[in-house]
Amino acid sequence: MMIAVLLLLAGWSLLAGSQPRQFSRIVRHGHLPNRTGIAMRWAGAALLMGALVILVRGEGPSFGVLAWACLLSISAMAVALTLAWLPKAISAT
Amino acid sequence: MEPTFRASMNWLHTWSGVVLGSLLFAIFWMGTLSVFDKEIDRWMMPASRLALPEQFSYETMRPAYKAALAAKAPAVLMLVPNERNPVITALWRNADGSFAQRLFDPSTGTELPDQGTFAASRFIYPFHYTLNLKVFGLGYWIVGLCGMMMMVLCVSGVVIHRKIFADFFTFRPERKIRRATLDLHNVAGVLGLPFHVVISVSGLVILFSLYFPSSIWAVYRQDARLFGREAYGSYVRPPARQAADLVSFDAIVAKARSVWGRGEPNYLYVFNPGDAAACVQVNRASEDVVSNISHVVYVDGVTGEMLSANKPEKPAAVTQRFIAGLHFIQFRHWTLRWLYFGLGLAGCVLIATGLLFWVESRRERHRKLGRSGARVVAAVTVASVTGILIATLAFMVTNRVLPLGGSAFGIERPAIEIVVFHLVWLLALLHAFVSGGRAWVGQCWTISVLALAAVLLNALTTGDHLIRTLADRQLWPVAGIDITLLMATVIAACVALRLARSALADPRASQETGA
Amino acid sequence: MKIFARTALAIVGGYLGTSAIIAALSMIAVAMVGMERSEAATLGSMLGFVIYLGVMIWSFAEPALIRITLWLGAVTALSLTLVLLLGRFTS
Repeated sequence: MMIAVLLLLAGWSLLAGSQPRQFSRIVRHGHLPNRTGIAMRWAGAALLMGALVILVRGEGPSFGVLAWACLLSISAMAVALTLAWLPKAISAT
Repeated sequence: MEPTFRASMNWLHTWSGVVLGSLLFAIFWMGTLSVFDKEIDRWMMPASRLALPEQFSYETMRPAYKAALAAKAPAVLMLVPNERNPVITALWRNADGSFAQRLFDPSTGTELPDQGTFAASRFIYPFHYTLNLKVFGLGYWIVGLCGMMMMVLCVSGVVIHRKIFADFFTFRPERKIRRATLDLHNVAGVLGLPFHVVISVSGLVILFSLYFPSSIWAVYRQDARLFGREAYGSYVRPPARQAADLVSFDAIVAKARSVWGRGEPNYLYVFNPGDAAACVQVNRASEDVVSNISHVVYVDGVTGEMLSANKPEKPAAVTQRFIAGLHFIQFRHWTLRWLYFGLGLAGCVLIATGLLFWVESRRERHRKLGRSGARVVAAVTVASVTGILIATLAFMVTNRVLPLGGSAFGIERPAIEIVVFHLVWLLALLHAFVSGGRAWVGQCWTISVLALAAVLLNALTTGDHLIRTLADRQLWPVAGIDITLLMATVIAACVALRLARSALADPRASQETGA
Repeated sequence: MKIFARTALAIVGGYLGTSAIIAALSMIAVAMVGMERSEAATLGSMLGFVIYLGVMIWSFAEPALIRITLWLGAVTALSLTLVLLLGRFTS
């Protein structure tokens, strides 16, 4: 379960980072090459799917899919909220 | 009407949101609390904070049955104690039609003192799907319409959101309050969309036979009552008008278990108690599956023989029970329960920010035009968001302050709690009207104080303070409520400070709130 | 005023229309597909929510009020006729 949560958080972070606008927010004035962006997107999606596999194997098909769907939303919200305060936190240090 | 599809969906989203937003928030808030209804029950009924016995004998339910027999109830429903609800609950209708609920100790079977509260299972939970409006079943229909409109809002919201993927993670709290509100609305809406859709659909599908009975009428014509029998295999028989004793409950459950293979019952429903034609409906607890499937066995109460057994196996019925199960969360899965709670809160945030955005984007314009629309909606929004939180906390605080068996002005204890809830809600609305834009800060402080007061009062009146409840496994539900309340205290205080600071920093805003 | 009429049409008219459609669909499922009665009724009711959602969205998107009224009226009338006809055949 914990591994699945970590995978989801990492997956969403990669997906978020693959968006040029978010990327330049995190890495100041950073430029995201197109190919890296696409690679990050695929890796992120793969991590999300990996979490589904882990949850289904651990919790059984119906509970696994349900838990995955719920965690998918919650972890995405967590990433969005972290991203919101990240630039501030980085510039403060 | 609007020229394009997107424009008309925008119109629909805006206006159905403003008109029904407050009601939707109340329904979502009460639903979110109902995720932990049994835990709130434990908190509000201190005498029921009991440990389950290691070996539960179903014969312990005999005194509960005897009590219903003494009240001449035509039928009695007895809930089997479980981890979340460690008491024997007996529910029945008295001969005069009034409703009765009594609690019994799961180890000894003795009756627990009346806790004088409707708590979560009889106030918060029914509020979620009926608004406690019982006249002509009006509440069901209002909530049903809200459920349909929630789906309309989801669809129209997706249509009007142009950059759904580009804005996926966009939340900019540093921007102006209006922009930040819209960001938060989008994040809560888009990222929580699967939950919002599933929870609205499943809520409606639970009551499909109430909301769309025409298909049942069409197929069954005059004998629509046959539907229940054919779809779910319910069994009925008239009383024999001859007194007879009920066989041992352990024997009845053993009979049911022989049909199920494994599993325990979650309730025993005795029809015609004390009669020679007594019959007991035993339902298998569906805590190991998502579906809220009922696997019922009917046992003859006098001979102990099996009368009928049924389990929905046809595809449509099974689908319906699965969808209902998604909503009911009667399964045993603490992670999922907390996730539902979190997503329910996200739904509350979605509705609240939606209302707030409407107000924020019209405040200036309406003030210049001298219209009161934004002012009225602003006050109603405050009352329906922070107001209902305050009312709920006041409900819990009242529960800990009133002595057992207390009454005032001829009102019984359970009713006083409910009167306080509604009175405080009304006061919150008045306060919102009077103090305008500053109302948010004041009401956030009130939430903070009340939540802290609830925790302290619980420790004072029951002695179950956090250190003790955390150490004792059986008191974890109480600890959970207390910790959640403490978190609410901190969060509400932070929000209040933040709002007060931004009002100071932005002279335009403070001028406005002062005006 | 027009907005009021449209809202009433979408909510009340949409509900009545949907009820008629699902009644007809359930009867067709029983009479022609041979589905069990309880199954057809359950399936029909559950489909009702989806149909009702579609009807509501459509009646707020369609510019001409008269077209909504006519379409809803026609579909409702057709469904009710089907219910009556099939009822006569089966009973």
